[in-house]
Amino acid sequence: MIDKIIKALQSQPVSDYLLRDVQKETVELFFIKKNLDMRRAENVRDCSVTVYRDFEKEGRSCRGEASFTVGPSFSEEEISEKCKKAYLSAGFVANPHYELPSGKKIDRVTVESDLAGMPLDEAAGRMVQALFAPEQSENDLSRGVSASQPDPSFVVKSESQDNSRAFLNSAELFVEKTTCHIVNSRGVDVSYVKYNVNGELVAQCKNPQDVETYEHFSYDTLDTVGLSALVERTLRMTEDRALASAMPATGVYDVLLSDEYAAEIFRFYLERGAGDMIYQHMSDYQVGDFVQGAPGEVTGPLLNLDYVPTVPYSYEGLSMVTLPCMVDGVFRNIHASARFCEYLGVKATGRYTKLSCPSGDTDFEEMKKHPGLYVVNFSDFQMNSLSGNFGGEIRLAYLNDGKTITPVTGGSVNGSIFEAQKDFVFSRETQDLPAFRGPKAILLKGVAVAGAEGSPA
Amino acid sequence: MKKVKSSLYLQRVKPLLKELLSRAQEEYSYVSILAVDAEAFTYQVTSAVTAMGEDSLLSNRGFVIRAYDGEAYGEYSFNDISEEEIEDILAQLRRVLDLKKCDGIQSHSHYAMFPDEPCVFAGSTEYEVDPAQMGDEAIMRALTVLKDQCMAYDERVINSGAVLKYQKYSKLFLSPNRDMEQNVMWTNGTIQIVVQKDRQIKYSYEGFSVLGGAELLDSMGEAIGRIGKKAVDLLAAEPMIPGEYDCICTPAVTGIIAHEAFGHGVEMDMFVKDRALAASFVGEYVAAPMLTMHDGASMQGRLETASYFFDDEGTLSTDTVIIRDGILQSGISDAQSAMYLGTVPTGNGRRESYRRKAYTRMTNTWFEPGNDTPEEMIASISYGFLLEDAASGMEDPKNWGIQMMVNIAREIRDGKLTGRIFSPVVLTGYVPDLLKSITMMSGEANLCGSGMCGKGYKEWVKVSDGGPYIKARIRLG
Repeated sequence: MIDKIIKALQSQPVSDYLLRDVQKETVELFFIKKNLDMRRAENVRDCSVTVYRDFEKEGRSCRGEASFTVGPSFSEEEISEKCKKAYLSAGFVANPHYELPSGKKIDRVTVESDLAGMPLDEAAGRMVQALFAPEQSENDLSRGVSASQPDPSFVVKSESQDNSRAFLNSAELFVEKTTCHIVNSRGVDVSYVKYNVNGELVAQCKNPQDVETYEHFSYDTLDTVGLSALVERTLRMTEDRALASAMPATGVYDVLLSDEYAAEIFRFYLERGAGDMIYQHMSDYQVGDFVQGAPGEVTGPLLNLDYVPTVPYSYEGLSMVTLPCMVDGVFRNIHASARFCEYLGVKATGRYTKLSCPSGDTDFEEMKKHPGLYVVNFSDFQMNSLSGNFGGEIRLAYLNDGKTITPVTGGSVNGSIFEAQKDFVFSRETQDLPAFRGPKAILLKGVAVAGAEGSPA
Repeated sequence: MKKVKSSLYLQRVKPLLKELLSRAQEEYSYVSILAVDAEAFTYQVTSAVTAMGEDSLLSNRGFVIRAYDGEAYGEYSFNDISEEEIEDILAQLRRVLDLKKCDGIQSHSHYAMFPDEPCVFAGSTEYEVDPAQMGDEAIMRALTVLKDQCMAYDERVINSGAVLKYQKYSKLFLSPNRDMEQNVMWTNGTIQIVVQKDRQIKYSYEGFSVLGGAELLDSMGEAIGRIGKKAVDLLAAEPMIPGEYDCICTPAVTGIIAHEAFGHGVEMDMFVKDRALAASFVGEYVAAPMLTMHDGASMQGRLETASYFFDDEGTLSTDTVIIRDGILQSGISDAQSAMYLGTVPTGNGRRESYRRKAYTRMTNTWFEPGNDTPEEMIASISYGFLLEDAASGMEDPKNWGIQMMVNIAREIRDGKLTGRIFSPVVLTGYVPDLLKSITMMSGEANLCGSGMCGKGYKEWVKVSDGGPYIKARIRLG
């Protein structure tokens, strides 16, 4: 397909282009309880084409671009027509000129994974076994009581409550193989193969009240252990939510976040460091600035963050390597496409989607003993990188008043990163998620919680 | 008004699709094929960058074949077809249906065969201005004018942008007894203004939508003053004082309540999974008696960006009354869920694209209007807030918990807006409590279809929502 597109491009006065030829094969399984309810597969190949056009406008040098996507069903005439239209369109996009990445042909890379070489349906079968393994364990009495579990519940059940066991309500599993080939007019010719298993699951517990918990997952390896642990943790969390009825009282709390919610906090720094955000004045980060608040007001750890690659090459074919984002609270590198890097006068890096942060020196178990609110499940938890506000509605939290621990539900957390970043506490334990590698938990001090009026639950 | 034209490509491959259908019917008692040819463009002009190009999520051309093996259904998505490819497609379909033999799979669902009642249909929506005919240069020029007007609004404006996006799609649905075609075009616009004071950055935006074409551009300019004022006002915003208040919701906030708080809970694939509290409330009061709620893509209903003639399973679209006079009447469903529940499918089986599974999805979701005016509603409040700028929301069908974010709460004291504003604001609570607390509704229902809706965190489809101004008691944080 690439040859056909290049031939069509060469029939137009196009001098520069970028092609991303992506083939995706999947196996998809959809479950209601343990019943396979629907099975699907796809085998689709698409090539996205970006056409560049250089021109002068009002005395300045411009490089316009326009893009389109074609698949194997497109005829040569259709591709030629799209190339022609894109070339014309690019002439109306008067962005300042910049240089495209240049490079050479590099042999295909397969991202290291035990999924590589395994048929997708076989990998799917292994992950299905892992998905249902926790429920299969008839004699698993450790749920909710085992101190060896990575994320133990506070609520210990007696055997009389055993009928309040949670179960998997439904799940979706996607096993994917993606082959990506990136070619541009300046010699870049790189490709990679990446495997991934992702999906979502819903756990339900009917007694003493009917509740559910939603979780999603993504692994680049055949992480059957990770999936089973996630299922186990979600089942336990759902059982605890079934016991929670009180709402936390409105007030200011030290809020403990873990897992994906801890990771979400760091999205602020990833987006604030993005060149497109900085160029458009949506972020005020400047290389060399101390960006963790005002100097001197930080009483907690100074931030040391790295950008971490999730694929070998960026959208434009730039090689992605680990890169410092922040050192001791000082912003070190902008990450962006070639275009925004050149506009901002820095070396092209590609745009990253993952940050890493060193772990802290506090045990997660110790953090959970800290009086405050440990929120383990939100309906949705979001960080707004523009305003710095973060928040979400509480589905399940553990309220620790220093003496007792009570599961609570309802109300919302509403904080500001500009306050929280002065005094983070990070766990010693770590996690590795699609968009974050670092502390498993983070304690945020003095965060507003909207809940019940009056005395605490 | 002009009609959206058929896809020449789909017409060209239709004989091949019929041959594939016929060959698959030799092996399976029911087979259907959905063919899609969709083209979508986005034009963006901001003070810092300009961009245009095909929208990669919304532009797609391909097929999904669904087959019934006597017990359940399986699907294969692909994007190339020729005489030579047909045998390979059939082989892949066999492989998909064999997935029920995968390791670890203990059991599978059992369904009846789709009724497949005969239907031959062809329909197209209308538009005034074809964006493709208007041309890239004219569209970019119009957006540049809007952006310049935004930048001139106030010296504190640091960035602004105007966006136009449209999708034109053609779909064929073929089954043993069905031969259906539709051609639809919708257009969206967005204007955003970003302001800065010291290190504080605030923004406001509005969306615009039409089941039609670039005629939408004519209505976008008049909103700039309103958007600019909201952005500048936000620079003086105070943190919300948590509590339960009398609130007036603008139609955009009403829409997000209709969609997120209640609509997701009546998607009947959730009934199948025992994930929706609404299933046990049919026939009961879930809202104030003055409230009636609809969802529907029907061309005889409210025309918006989620209107279509038939869904992605070949079911003709309808208008479903979900709540009538405060009483929950019915949910909405895709074909497979309706078969499981023994109900009539409502034409809400939608796919993100031919590459994804069909789920029960909302379309145009809205509350009917009442008889009050917004001024009367504000005057009726001794202390409370006017809520504007719906930012986001998350569904909770199981427990009817509300989580929504709005950007602006304007203080009302003694029936008047005081000028104080609070931001950001989280709405929480229990959905029926909020809906039952509605005491006033304005006389006009406004819908906006500039957004997309996900199921969980994926499966994005075009939707619209809205309604009148409503007065309700809401917990804010």
